[in-house]
Amino acid sequence: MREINEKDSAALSKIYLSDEGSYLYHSLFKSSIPEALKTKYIRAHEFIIPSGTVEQFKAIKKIIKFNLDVEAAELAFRKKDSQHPLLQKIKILIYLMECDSKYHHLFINERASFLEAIFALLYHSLYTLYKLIKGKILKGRYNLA
Amino acid sequence: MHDAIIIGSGPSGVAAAYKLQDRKILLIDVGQTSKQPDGLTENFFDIRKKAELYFDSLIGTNFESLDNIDKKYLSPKIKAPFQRYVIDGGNRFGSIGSETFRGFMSYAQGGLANAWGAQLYRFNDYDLKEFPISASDLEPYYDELTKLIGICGQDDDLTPFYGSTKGLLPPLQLCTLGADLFKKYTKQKKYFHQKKIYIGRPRLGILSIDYCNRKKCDYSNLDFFQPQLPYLYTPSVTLHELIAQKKLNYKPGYLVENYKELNGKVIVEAKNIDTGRKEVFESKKLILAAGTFGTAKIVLNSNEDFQAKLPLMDNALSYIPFLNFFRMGSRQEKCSLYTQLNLCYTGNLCDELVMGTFYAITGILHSDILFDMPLAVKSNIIVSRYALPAIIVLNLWYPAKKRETNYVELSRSGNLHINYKPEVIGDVERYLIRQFIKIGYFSTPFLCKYPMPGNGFHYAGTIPMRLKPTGKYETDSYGLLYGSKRVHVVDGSNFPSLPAKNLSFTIMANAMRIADNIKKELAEDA
Repeated sequence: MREINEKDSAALSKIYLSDEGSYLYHSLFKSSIPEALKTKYIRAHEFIIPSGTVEQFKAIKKIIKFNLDVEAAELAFRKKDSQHPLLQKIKILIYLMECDSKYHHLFINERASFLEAIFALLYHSLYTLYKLIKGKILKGRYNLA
Repeated sequence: MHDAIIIGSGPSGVAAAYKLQDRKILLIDVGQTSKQPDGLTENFFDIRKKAELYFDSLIGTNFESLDNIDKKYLSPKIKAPFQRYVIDGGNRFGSIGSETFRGFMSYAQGGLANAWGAQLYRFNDYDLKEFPISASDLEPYYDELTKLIGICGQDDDLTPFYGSTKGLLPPLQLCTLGADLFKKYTKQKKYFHQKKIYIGRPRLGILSIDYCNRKKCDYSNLDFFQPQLPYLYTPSVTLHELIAQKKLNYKPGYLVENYKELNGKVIVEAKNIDTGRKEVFESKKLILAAGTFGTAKIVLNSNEDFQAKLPLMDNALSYIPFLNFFRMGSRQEKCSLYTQLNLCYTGNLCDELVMGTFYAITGILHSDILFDMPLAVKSNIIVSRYALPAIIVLNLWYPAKKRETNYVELSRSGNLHINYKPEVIGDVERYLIRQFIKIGYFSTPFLCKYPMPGNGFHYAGTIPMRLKPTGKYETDSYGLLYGSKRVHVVDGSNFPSLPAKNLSFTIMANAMRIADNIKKELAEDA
């Protein structure tokens, strides 16, 4: 069997990060990650190194392997560990999205809309509750750390 | 031989140099400078619409803005890529180690003040009760600095705490949320005063009108991303003026390691940071203005003392986000400034005055705070879009006192080590949260943040001033180091206590007072 050298390992890691970024984005926003954002996501990992236990990284791999709901799983992890590597990776993605004009409308409110805001607050409170329950079920069923 | 050598170009070093400008002065400094970010000429609001063009300024080529994800917390004031120069250099020139304290030394031209909020407050006699000087000793220097800097503010409920309003420029414009809060407070003033809460305008070294060839604030909201904004005073402004007028011999690129007094002069040894070569400079007087940690390090190193534990004080701080529910869904404001209003609390939940500042948060990346919200990821993004224009953050500062548990020492490797026991705070936060419901501003204790000690950059007290100094790490009321005839300490090191008020203005006024005395001594010598 051929030994994996440093260069191969870097290439494999890029492939893994590419798949990971694509999956996180798709799971959160239900669409394909733009190529430029994916490239930045991979590059960001050269400088930002999410840390966690072996089990926590295994959990991320499991989430991708079994197509699990990232948002639900993260919410279930957050209660126990607000520094879970899954959240660190999501943060990388969100920071990069915020600095991309394509997502400007997601972050900045440009027109006054009180009722819309109240509706969003109520809806997302319930949505969060649903995701939290789902996350706990996933955590238990797939033994996610 | 120079009349005096000043070490460090922060607030104290520059203030001392300003006062000694007609003498032969050498200012030695590491003097790191920042590059200016390309094209950050528009308002932050507009820049965000084409954010990818400004990726290097907002996120950084090394993804600096994301550092809080996997590294120790950095305040947004120094996290951005072009602000990082303020704290860079620790690995190269000496760092601070601690498990319980996040200490920063600045090797930048202008020091840590490059990242300050320019809040400038006079200490009154109560604040100075442990100092060997009184407010009247500092008053003329406060007045002189007010004229030099251009400080805005007004006569309001905070004047009893902040002192004279002489020479103040008009206050800055408030953002919609700041104006709303102030209006509601004014209506309910009686209630708040009964609760020992007072709100008013801050005193800021930010120009509200064109002043001394400097342009007034344009509310571009770029304070967190662009260094050296022309309307925001930093000591670098005066430093550059003194250099341009050839009133100061400025020598950047040198790290001072130690000094000794010999044959009626002070010999300063400094390392050229490019060549690593050591050079020697001589003067009649030495003025230590390298910042609380820098000065402590030089003094300990000069004494080759790796045993001494110097006292350390730092203002504990907290953040309380307040939501004005009825402003949810407001349009994000385009023109704004982060500093809005100030608060003083004098009730019995704290022995002394607690001071606070309300900040608008439209000038930072939402990602910096949206994960503090308790919702699912996507929900946090969407709800924060509606909620952030309705959120104002109160940053509270607590007074600090000398404690046995809090000290700094020098290791043989040349790095400083700090031991610090964090203050237990939270009662005032809970109390304020209850009171602000009255005017429609809501929060909850679990949203409060308590950063690790040191993150507020208010360090002081390592070599305190005393009326009668007794130890070798104390100074007299003119900053003269005990047992020395020529070495003066002029920065925050010589504060014997640390009120909750921002200390920078007093550091500058005190440095000027000491420099004035040094000038007299030099004249007498001559």
